[in-house]
Amino acid sequence: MTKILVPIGPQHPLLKEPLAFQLSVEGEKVVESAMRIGYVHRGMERLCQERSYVQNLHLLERVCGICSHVHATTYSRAVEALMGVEVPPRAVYLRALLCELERVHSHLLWLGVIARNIGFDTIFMYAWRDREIVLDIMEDLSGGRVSHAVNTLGGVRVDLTDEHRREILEQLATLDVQIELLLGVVEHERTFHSRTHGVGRLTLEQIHRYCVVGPVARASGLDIDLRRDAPDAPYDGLEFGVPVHTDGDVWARTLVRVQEAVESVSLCRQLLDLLPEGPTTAKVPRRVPTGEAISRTEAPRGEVIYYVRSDGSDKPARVKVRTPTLTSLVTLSEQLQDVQMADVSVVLSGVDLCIACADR
Amino acid sequence: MRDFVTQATEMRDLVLSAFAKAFPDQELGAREVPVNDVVISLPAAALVEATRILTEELGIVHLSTITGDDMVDHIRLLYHFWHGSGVTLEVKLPPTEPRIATLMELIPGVVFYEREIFEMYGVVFEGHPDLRPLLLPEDWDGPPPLLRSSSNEREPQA
Repeated sequence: MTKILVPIGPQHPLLKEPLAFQLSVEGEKVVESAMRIGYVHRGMERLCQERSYVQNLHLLERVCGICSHVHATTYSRAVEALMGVEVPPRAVYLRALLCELERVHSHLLWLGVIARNIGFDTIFMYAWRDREIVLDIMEDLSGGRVSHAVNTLGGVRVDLTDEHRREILEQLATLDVQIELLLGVVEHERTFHSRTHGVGRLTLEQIHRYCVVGPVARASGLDIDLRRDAPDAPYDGLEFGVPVHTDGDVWARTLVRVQEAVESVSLCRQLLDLLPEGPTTAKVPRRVPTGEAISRTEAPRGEVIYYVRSDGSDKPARVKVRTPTLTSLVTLSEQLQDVQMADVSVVLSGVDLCIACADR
Repeated sequence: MRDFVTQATEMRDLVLSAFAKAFPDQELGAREVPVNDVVISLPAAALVEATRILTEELGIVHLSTITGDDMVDHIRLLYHFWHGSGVTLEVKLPPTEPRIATLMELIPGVVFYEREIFEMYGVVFEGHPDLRPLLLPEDWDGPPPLLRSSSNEREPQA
C-alpha cells in the first residue's frame, strides 16, 4: 500500500501548544512517526545565569503555564538548601497546598482536553467548570489564577486568615462532590472506555527503558511518587494513596489522574486542618554561598528536577531544569506505532504533554 | 509502605562499594549534595561501566536527566540517577572537542538528554544513532549557546 505523509503541527487545532509530527500512514494505520520540538524554546537556562536568584523565581514560574508554582517551589528548595535556610512550617504547608490545588487544576484541565478530543463534550464542560473552583481558590490565595508568585526565597508571600480557611474548605467540599461525579462517569461510561481502552499502551518495561515518570508511569504499574518515596515535610505527616493501574493505556492514565485529583483534594483539606501557626518567611542571607543543590518535586505530570550551582555571586552559575514531559515525549513514537489515524489525538493528549515545559 | 530513608542510605553504600570493587585504582570522589543526593566523580572512560553496574547489578534504572555545565577549563556532565534518593555520576571532559560514549544501549531514554547536551555544549556522544539538535531552530548557526564563551548580545536591529 502507498504511504501517505500526514503533517500535524506545529500549528494544528489538535495541539494546544506548538509541536510538529510527521506521520506516515498506510490506509488508516500509522506506520512511522517523526517529531520535532523546540518551537517554544525560550533559552531559560541561559537566562537564569544572567538574572539574580530572586528574579529567577519569577522567570522559572513561567516555564509552565499550568504547573507554574511547582517550578518556583522546586527552585526555591534548591536555593534554600544552598543557603542552609530552614523554611518555617507554615510556609511549607502553604506551598504544598498550592501544589495540590495545582495538581487538581492540571488533572481536571487534562480531563477536559481528552474528553474534547474524543468528542465527549459533556465531560469537557463539567471538568472545566469544576476547574474554575480551583482557579478561584488559587486566585483568592495568591491574586493570580495561573502565575501565583507566592514563593519567595525562605518562605511564601501570602497568608491565610481563619475565615479564609473556612471558605476554602467549603469550596473544597463542592469540588469533592464534583470530582467523585466525574470519576463515576469516567469509570462507567462506555463511550469513554471504548475510545481510550487499549490505546497508546506502554508496558512497564518501556516505562523503565525511557525513564518515564508521573501518572503515565503509574498507569503502567510503576509505583513511584516522590511525595511518598522521598518523604519531606509536609507529606511525611499526611495520609494519601498513590493510585496505580497496570493496563498502561489512556484509559488507565485517566483513572490514575482522576483518582489522584480526589487524593489531592483530601490532601488540601488535611493541609488546611493541620496548618501550623507561625511566621511565613525566614530571614535569608544576602549572598548564596558557593555550592550545588539538586531538588526534586512531584509535579502534576511527575518528577521535576532542578540542579542549581552557585559560585558565590548574586547570580546562579548554572540552573538546569528537567520537566516530566520530556520523558513522555520520547515514548510517543512507540505509542503511535500501528494506531488508527482517529486514535492519534487520543494518544497525543493521553500523555498530557506540556510543550512549554519540555522546551523551556 | 517501604522504608525509603533506610533504603536510600543502604543504596548509597552499595553503590560506593560496587564502584570501589569495579574501579580499584580510581580515587572516587564522593560528596553529599543537598537536598538528598550523593555526587560521585568518575573518569569519563568509566562512565559506561559504572552505568552498567547501576542499572544491571543494582537495579537503579531511573536516570532523571543529564546536566551539562561549562566550567571554562573543563565541561562537566552530571548524570542524575534516582532510587529512593539521588545518585549522581560526575564526569569531566576537555573544553575543546569534548567527546564521551553514549548510554543509549543501556538506557534508551537518554536520547533527548544527550541531544540537548550536544546542541547546548557541543559534546559529541559517540555511538548515539541520531545526534542532531533538539530545541534550537533549524537555521541556528551560532556556537553552542550554553557555553560561557558564547555571547548573548543581540545584533542591532537594522
